[in-house]
Amino acid sequence: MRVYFAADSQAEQKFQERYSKIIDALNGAGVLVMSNLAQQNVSGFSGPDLEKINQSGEVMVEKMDALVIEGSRSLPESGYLIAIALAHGRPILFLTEKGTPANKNIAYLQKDKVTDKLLQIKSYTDSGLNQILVDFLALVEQGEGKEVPNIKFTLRITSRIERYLQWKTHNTKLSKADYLRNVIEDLIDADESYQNFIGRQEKK
Amino acid sequence: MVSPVKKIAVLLGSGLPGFKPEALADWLGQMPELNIIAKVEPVFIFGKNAVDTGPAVWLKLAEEIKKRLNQYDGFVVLHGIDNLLYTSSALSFLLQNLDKPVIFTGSQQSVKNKQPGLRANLINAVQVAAFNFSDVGLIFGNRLLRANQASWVGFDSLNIFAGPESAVLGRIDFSIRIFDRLTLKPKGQIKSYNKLNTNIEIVEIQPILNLKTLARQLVDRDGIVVNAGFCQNLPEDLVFLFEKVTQDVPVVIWSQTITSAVLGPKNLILVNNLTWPTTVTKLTWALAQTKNLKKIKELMEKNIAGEIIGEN
Repeated sequence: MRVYFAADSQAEQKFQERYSKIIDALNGAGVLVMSNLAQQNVSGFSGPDLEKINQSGEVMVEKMDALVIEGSRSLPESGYLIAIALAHGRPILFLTEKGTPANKNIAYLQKDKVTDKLLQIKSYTDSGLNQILVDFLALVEQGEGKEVPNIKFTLRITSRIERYLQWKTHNTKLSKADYLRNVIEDLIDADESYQNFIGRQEKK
Repeated sequence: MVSPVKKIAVLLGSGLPGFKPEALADWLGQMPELNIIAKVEPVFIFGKNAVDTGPAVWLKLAEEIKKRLNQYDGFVVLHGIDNLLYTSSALSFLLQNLDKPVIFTGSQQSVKNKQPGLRANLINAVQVAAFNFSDVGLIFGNRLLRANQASWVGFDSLNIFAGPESAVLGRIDFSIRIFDRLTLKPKGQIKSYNKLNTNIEIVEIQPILNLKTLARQLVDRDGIVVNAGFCQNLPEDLVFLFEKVTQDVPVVIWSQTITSAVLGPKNLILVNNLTWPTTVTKLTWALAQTKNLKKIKELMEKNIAGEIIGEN
């Protein structure tokens, strides 16, 4: 999963530390984070990948799964980021430190039923920040359109594996790729360590 | 986040695929996210297909923008792909020394590329129009281009228009970067023009050219534009025609390869540093200013609105 994180790069030290904490929490949850904070940029895209994206005419927000904005301090481009993320159907988490006055422009967006589905506005304290991020990531994973696989992943297999996949999917409606995706989904659900790691409790 | 204070007019310059022109205001109203970027207000100019746009629409567009220059911080023109380059380049001549951006955009919808992109393009265009610079640009995909230097390159990517380096005024990755050093700097007061001379003949060089018919068509024309494309020379009979039959009429030869050395007659004006749509619209603008051959030549060679490729 890739997330773009935006915050005021000129904010005071207290916030810079908090931004690092947010990025660390996201990275710790297995998320690749791109950010406007120059020193925090890991996209997982190679140079040729980035050039390809540029040539294709896509904007980088399209390649992200979600947007997180720490909006306690004014960030001029946050309006644009929110608007373009909404246009591309990307979930957004807008964070403000508890006690920060509500942003009326953004709160107004929640009155629209379409944007309300994608936009989460959360007021946080240091102790509750992690859980907010974990919950948001869970929503991103479960969100609309997430059933559609859209992340390219090249996997070289042996002829033995290929033969097995051919046998397994022959005369079924399942493609080899679909079959492999299902196997991995099952592995994820069955992996208790991972489920604990992402803070989700299985309901049995 | 600072409350939006910029006011942007969104003008409908032509119909768009799958879009009801009469529903412009309602459609903008369904995009509350636009209001966190700027205060947008719709203006209807023309609702038919983009291919039906022409000089009348270009003049109306210029007039409506001019009327609103003091009320808005920037302008977005929604326009179909057909004739977009003509409309936008014409506008760059009709409104010169603008101190605000006018940004064209639309939808890349095609059979191959099922992604309309209109909503995202509009958001990008409004954001760009809220910046403080002056140029007539167009934005599709992730590039902002000076409109009068842009060319259509097809639907293989969302960047359906391209241009030389001098035409790339900005890029979008996670934010929009405007390349200030490349944008036009207004020189003095805004100059607005409300006339175009469309009494021109457009000639395409091809092996089958009926010169008798052409000669009859050229009578009473105020100007001629010849698309010589990648020809190395001009047909002798055509040059003879221009020399003898239309010797007082400016003949603009648009070519990527012909050099001035092969041009004999004095009324031939070589243009090899403009796009084709810009050449046509610039001539119609120039002919509305003067009929003097020498002055027409000067105007066609002068960089009026940043249209000359490679000069900035």
